[in-house]
Order: sequence, then structure tokens, then C-alpha cells
Amino acid sequence: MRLSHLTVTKDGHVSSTSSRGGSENRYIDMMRIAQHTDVLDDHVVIVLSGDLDLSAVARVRSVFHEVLRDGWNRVVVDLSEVGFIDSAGLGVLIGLQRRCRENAGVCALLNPSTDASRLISTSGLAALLPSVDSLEGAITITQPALSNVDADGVVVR
Amino acid sequence: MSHGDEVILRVPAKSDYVALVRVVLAAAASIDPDSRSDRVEDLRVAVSEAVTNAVEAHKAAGTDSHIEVHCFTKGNDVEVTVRDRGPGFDPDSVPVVPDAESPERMFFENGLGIPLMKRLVDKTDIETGDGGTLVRLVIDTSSSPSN
Repeated sequence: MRLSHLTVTKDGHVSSTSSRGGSENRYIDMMRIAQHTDVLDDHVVIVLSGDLDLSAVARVRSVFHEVLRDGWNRVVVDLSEVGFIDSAGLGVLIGLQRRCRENAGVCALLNPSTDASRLISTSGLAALLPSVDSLEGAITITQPALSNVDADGVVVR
Repeated sequence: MSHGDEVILRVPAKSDYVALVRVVLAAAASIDPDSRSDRVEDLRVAVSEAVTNAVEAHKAAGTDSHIEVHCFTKGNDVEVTVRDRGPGFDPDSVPVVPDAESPERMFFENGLGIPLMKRLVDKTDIETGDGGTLVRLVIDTSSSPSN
């Protein structure tokens, strides 16, 4: 499981890191990140690639916690390079969604594979873990969250 | 299942080996040309769930014994058993996952594995006791998915 963490701040600053386990950290292609700057204002995008299973969830959860601790509440998780996901992976995404909503935000899944989408649907999680096929779509999902969250952090429809 | 092919794996109860098991078993289930890729994927996920539970059971028990996985194939009929030496569990104590529309659903990060296994394959049997747990998954990989 490789983790890439793209951050776009309100003042337009863009930063990115990726890691592959342990303490290894390195910067990745900045050009790819720059393409996202215009549409990602006030959002953070986390790019996952590899298998999202038991062996990966601890590291993924740690990244999610770090993002939330930094104050982000609108999170896009790019699953386009995730080849496999099971209930352990779904669990960590559910946890992220709950914490985002508790902070008056929301998370969206970007480009899950056909198999991942079917699993999310089979698990009855399609409404809880909304999927989009573009970053613009993610913005559409995440923007209304700020005004539609009740005191318990639950999105009111 | 008799007169079929059998694949036997004996793997350490470590999370890094979950992928190894599902890759091998998915490959075995794909050998028959009539197997459907979506049904093999269903099996792959179900096997991952069963082996994940086995790894966590061994961790809970503090045992370093191996997990045993048997895969029997006869045409498109596939039967997989996953045996662990964990502490077992009370099937009645498994929490019921709330409906998808319930706000409580997002508080269930765990406990999704067994319901998912039951949805993905044609038959799931679980025998559990003090000596461990045996999960049996049966699927016809040429059939249409039920979900």
C-alpha cells in the first residue's frame, strides 16, 4: 500500500508527500498536484494505491488521523489505484467519514474500481461512502456538508 | 467435494499473508474457463475476510501457530475452508450491523466481515469453539451473483 497525501491550503499553498510503510517519506511529482490546485481549495486529497486490507489499515488510519488533526474536514480519497479492498478497508473509510462529519465535514471516494464499487454497494455503504468520478464531483458532494450537519455530526438530507 | 483438485496452504497468522492466500485461491478458482470474474472476485473478498478473522483470532489468542487453508475445486464448484487455532467466538454475540440508512451505521468500523462473506458466496458455514474456528465457503463461480 502506497500513500500519497496532497494538501491544498486556503492560501493556495500545495504540498505533497508519499510513503510506502515504515518511516520512508518522499516528495512525489509536483506537476500532478498543480493540476488539482484550482478545484481543491479547502480540500485535502489522499491518494491510495495497492491493496486496502488488514495489512494496510493501520498506516492508512494513521494518515487519516493526521489529516483530521491538522484541521481538514473535507477529504477526498482517491481510490483509482486501489486494486483490492475488503471490510477492513471499508472500516477505515467509514471511520474517516464519521470523523469528518463530526467535524462538520464529509469525505468522498474518487474513482473506486468496478470491484470496489460493487463491494461498497453490496455492503450497503453506497450512501455512507459516496463515490465520484472527478474532483469536481467530489467538490459537489463535500461543499453542502457545512450547512447540513446536525449537532451529532450526522448529515441532514 | 470429491474427485476434484485440491490446493492446501499453511501460512503464518500475519496480515501480510492475507494477500498471498487470496491471490492463490483466486487463481485456483479461475482455472475453469467458465468461471466468471465477478464471482471469483466475490470469492477473493470472502477468503480475505475469513483469513483476516483468522489472523486476528490468533493475535487475540497470542498463538504463533499457522492458519490452514484448503481449496477444493471441481469445475466451477469451489469450496474453501479456513481453520484457525484462535479462542473461538460466540456467533450470537456478533453485533448486528445497522441498516445502511441508519445514522448508527457509521459507528460500525468492524464486524462487517461475516455479513459480507454470507452475501458474497453461495454458502457459508462457521464452526467455532475453544479449539478454534473453521470457516467453509462454497461458491459456483459460473453462476450469476445474487447481490
